[in-house]
Amino acid sequence: MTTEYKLRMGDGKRIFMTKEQIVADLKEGMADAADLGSIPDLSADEIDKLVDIITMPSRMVGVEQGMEVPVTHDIGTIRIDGDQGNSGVGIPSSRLVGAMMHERAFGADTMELGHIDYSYKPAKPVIAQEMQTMEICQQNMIVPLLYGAMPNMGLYYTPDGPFENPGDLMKAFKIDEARQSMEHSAEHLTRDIVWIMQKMMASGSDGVNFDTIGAAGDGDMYASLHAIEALRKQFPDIYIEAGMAGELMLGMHGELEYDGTTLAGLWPHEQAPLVAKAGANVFGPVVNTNTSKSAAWNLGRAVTFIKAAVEASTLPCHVNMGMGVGGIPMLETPTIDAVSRASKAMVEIAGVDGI
Amino acid sequence: MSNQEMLDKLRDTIVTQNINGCAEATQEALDSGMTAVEIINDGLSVGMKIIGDKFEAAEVYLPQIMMSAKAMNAAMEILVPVLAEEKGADDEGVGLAVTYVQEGDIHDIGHRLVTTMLEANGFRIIDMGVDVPNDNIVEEIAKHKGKKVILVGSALMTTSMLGQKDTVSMLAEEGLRDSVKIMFGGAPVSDAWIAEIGADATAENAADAARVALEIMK
Repeated sequence: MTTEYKLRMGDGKRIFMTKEQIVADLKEGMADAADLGSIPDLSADEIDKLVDIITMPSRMVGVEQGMEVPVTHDIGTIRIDGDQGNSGVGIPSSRLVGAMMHERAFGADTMELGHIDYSYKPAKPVIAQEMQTMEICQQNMIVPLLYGAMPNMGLYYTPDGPFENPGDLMKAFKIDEARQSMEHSAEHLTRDIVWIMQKMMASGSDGVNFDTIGAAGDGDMYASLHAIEALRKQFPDIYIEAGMAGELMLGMHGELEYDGTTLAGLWPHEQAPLVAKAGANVFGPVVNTNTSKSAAWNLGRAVTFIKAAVEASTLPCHVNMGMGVGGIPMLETPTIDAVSRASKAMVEIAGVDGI
Repeated sequence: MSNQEMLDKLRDTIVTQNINGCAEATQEALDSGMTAVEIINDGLSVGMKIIGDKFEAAEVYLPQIMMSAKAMNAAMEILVPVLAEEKGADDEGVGLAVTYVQEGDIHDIGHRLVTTMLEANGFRIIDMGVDVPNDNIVEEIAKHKGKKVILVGSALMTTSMLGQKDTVSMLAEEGLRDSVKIMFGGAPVSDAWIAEIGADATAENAADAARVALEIMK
């Protein structure tokens, strides 16, 4: 009887696959990434290594000694106190306690202070509280503590913000008006991020995490890159982490450019140079998980994309690893068998500098 | 200007999303003696094929494809009455498309885009809107029994997608399944789902939807 190995589907369902089936899915996922991104395939040795990682008998695996990488946490302060809506575990605690637990108990190498709404815009009315909390956290912690939030340009559109919703405008075929609305929103988003970080830097923040750049499309990335550029000018020593929302920059506007490059349609290896040009210190590439495909397919695809991004990037790459990204199944609390295997593959094959 | 130059101009107005230019070029082509069918098949459709391919290759994006569709629509407003004259009042053309978003779902950007693309490709349209109960769909299809009809349903969510199965079975129960082609789309819809529920087709995106619809209506 052929040996079968325990894997998961992209939605987390337990499945069993033979080695031949695993290899076939790995190659198919790899080919998908190579085709979409016009990037090289993995080598035969790298495919073999992926097979080894996937078929290891241990429930949890780890990187080889000497290959350990820094682990950076987003939203971490809220992960303890927040409920499932915030990817949290619902244990009543302050944000200081959450941050210190990550530093002293969980081994986080950098940490982030984030607001429960976790976007820059809603941090504006509570900026005094954010500043005070940052100061207190800095007084109690050693690891670099950043301020982090999502650019989330959607909050600038009606009904949440002042500019007419491009979705509504596009439905009415008011394309020019939709684009103008995105451009106005981008200006305000850039301005708000810079203002918030001026306050947080005055409170001792070590830097900033842009979490999920491009969630609202190319306008979101346009605003974020300009905010990075402005912050680098104002604070030459600020540590800037630029994490993406998805693998492909969606062309909601379609014609926005940064440094002469059209933002729409960029894959991770094409995003990396622009993030460096804007002035970030770390690039956080993302590859999305397909819930209808196996973990082998997703991992083959994700490692292919991220390896190309690492090679193209002049910055250290800290790959996004979590629910629904980086070859990890889309579960609110991802399973350790999938997380540890995907992480090991990213470090040992894609060559990421951190997670 | 030669006929080929005229057709190239029509094609280019679609590819460059030149809405006013497309209408002007269409009128110019008609005035020069070209038929509406020639203008659509050899000029405008070629442009839509190019823009559809570019969209699939992530070289152009939602705003651009919507503007191309709008340019095509501007041309079709001029061409539809001419087509009726050329083909005769009884000719159904490529057919009637009944489009809607499944009950429980109000996401309509994709639905509107597909509707526009179908219209731009010569379908007559009945747009039933969003959150449409299956009873209303069956009632609408029954009105057009015996004609060339395609039902084009959209669902963005897995929960609303499940209603598509009931749509097919209710049409079958009413004896209408064989008189209508059925296409479903939306993020969760897959080929496997289409096969499971007994629909006819799905498509990757709006441009592909128009191509698939024309194909299954042949």
